[in-house]
Amino acid sequence: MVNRKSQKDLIVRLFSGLPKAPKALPNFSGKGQFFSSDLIIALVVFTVILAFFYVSSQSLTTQINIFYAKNQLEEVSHTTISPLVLFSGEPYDWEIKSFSDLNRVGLVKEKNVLSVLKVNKFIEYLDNNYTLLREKLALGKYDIKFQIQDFNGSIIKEGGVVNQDFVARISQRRIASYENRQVMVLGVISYAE
Amino acid sequence: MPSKGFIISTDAFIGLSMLALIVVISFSYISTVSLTSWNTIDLIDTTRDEVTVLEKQSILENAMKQSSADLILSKLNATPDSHCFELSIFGENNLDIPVLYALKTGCTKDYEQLVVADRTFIVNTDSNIQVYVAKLGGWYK
Repeated sequence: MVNRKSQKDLIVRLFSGLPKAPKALPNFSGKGQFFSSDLIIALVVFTVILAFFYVSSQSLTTQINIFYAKNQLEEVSHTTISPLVLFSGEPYDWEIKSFSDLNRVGLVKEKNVLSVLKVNKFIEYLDNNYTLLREKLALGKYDIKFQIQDFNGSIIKEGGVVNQDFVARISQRRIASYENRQVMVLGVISYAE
Repeated sequence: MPSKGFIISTDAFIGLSMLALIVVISFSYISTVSLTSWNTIDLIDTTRDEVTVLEKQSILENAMKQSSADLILSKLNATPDSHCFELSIFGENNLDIPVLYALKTGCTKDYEQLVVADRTFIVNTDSNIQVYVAKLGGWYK
């Protein structure tokens, strides 16, 4: 067993090479200081950097969301409007059948040649059966406004709505033949939150 | 060298600078991203639509019968101002030199992106049947 005196000698020998700590620092009290100037500067720098990255990430997220929403609108407008001027619909004579028989809307008798009967029926459904027609068009949360215009911008036929509180909207234009004249088929897809 | 860092140590400063640089590059990259791919699809659709309408309304056939591009030009000139079109019609035996040609008035062949849609059509006269190929080029003004 090592006795108490030899233990003390050992400790003294171990620390004998270390510099002696001053009894008191000239400008500081013996107590620890929570707010030192270094700490305050470090905190300010850290907060500024944190704020910068927070604002940056918020801005990035916003831009990505806008991009995503625009892209989705484009997709919806293309998948909704293009079939109207390319296909007759399902069944092909849906315009003379009841609304419940309608599976898929198409407005042409042949590619890019609009059928007057189909267009009139479509406008009628947009005016009177809008909500159900929107479901058949698989539009989900989106609204549709449909127009046939001549190339001067005069409206020949019109139906549907643009949501008054829309957050975003997009127009899709296709050229078609209607009563043997060139027209612009315009679909406006909009949505509100 | 002193062992203490000066407020921010050098390696931390370099790290933060690199991170800030990445964020700035990301911003500049995201700001340049646009939905131009949809513009291309729209241009393809419009060009195809236009040539289909010209075919279905027998404009191509009548123009060949009249041997005049005036009818085609009047239709092309009526299209939206933002679009330019040029139509060339070739005989079935010579796809190098067009027999009829029309360029929309006010358009020059100065484009970043050109889309071409083809249609083969028949002209039926009393004496014979001729096959022609129409090529419609479309671009944004």
